[in-house]
Amino acid sequence: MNNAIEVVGLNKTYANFGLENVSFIVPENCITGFIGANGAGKSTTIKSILRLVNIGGGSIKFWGMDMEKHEREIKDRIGVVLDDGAFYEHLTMAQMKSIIAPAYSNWSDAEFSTNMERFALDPKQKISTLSKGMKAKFALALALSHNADLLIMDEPTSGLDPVVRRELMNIIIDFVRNDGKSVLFSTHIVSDLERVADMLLLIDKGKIVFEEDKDALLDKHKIVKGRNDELTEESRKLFLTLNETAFGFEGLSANAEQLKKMLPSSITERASIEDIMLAYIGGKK
Amino acid sequence: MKMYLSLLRKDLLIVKKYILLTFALVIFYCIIFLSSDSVRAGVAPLAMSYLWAIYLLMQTLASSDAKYSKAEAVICATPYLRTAIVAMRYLFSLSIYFVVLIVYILMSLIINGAVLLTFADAMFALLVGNIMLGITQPLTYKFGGEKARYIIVTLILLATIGFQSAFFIISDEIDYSLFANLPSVLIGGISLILTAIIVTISALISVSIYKKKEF
Repeated sequence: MNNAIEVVGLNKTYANFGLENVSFIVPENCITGFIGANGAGKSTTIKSILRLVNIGGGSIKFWGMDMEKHEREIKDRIGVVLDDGAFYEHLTMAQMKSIIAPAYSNWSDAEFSTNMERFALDPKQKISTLSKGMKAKFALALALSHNADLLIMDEPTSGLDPVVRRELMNIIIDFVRNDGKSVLFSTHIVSDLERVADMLLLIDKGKIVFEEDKDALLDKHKIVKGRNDELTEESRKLFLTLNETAFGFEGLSANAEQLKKMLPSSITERASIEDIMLAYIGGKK
Repeated sequence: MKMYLSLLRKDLLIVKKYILLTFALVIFYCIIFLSSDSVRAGVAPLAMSYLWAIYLLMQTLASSDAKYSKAEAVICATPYLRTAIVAMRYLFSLSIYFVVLIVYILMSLIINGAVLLTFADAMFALLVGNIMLGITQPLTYKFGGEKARYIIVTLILLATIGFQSAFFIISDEIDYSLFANLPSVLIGGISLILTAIIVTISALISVSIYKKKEF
């Protein structure tokens, strides 16, 4: 399997924040969920790889090609969806499309019309009159209409209701069904990724915390509950988070199997991606 | 080329609300100047019209860039190269000149029954407009429309005062017959070459600034 994106040692410094040695891979034929709290560095990372901000160092490759040397060729294969409808509000959707479409060598008007119909959008409608959900769908319609191989989406579901979010997730699943397609999707609403993500990438304070297959991550991490009197210093070390109350303990561990042997009367439960993310970025022991 | 013409179309779509107002102003200027016996001929009417049109429309574009910076980010995320985005902005300003020239010629014919404009006048007006554009565009890319406006107004005031003062001081020293004897084609040609040099240098500076812009 080739890599749609390979980032090595990405650095970007601002006054009060920075990306520090960010490295990750977005494989082909995968939906990679890029998660992290607000201000963790998701948008900065995405802007860095799209060259919307200047980087302080590092290498960024798309399909083995360097962005510096093959910018136009690479961007021709990427569909971009940025947060909060990035459009000229006084234009109609048709006018906005007339600006974007000629940039792409594989633009398809037929595909665009199909997408607009699918999303029940009228091209003659002014962008300023669209709801947040409609703007998100329009952005996706544009991104899907030039035979892109990679969708890069920065918080596309932020502020959207569950119905629209589910709709967008289904569209993303459909997209990746085609061979050679990939998605990098950043969000702080991790529940969106439970169903769709193949890979998960967690960033916190400008550093990558983990980069793992979603199913493997969920298999490895479990919620463990039991009686306080069973806990020992040795077993405490195996928890990422641990909450002890008068009624017992509850914690998240990446070593559930080992803990089961040490705490035979404990019970394990499936952890959600949100549980795992919170354990790594704001764990309480 | 079709790919890049859509960038021209983008700028046109952004300013379309103000195009009518801008050209109404140009027509107004033409009526005022072309009806006046003392200034109907020469470079002044066309130059002033062009300067106003550039100022209004390019400032509108700069304001739009600031207001819709996310839209601009989307444009930069497409295969349009930043060099082309800047180049098309300069081409847009040049197209303003040609439209102003056509309006001027039509108004001349309507008001005076003739076009009292030489090739030298036309090219000198182009030069004057592009001196202003050549200075203001890189400033706008560097500081944004809002901040650049203050710098531009200050520069225009200083230039006006400086030019008038210099003119009063040295006007007696200038031998105007030198210019009067030069063929119009030569003056026009020199103006055109100077315009090309100024626009090229300005565009190169603007490109180097815009390439580093962060969204």
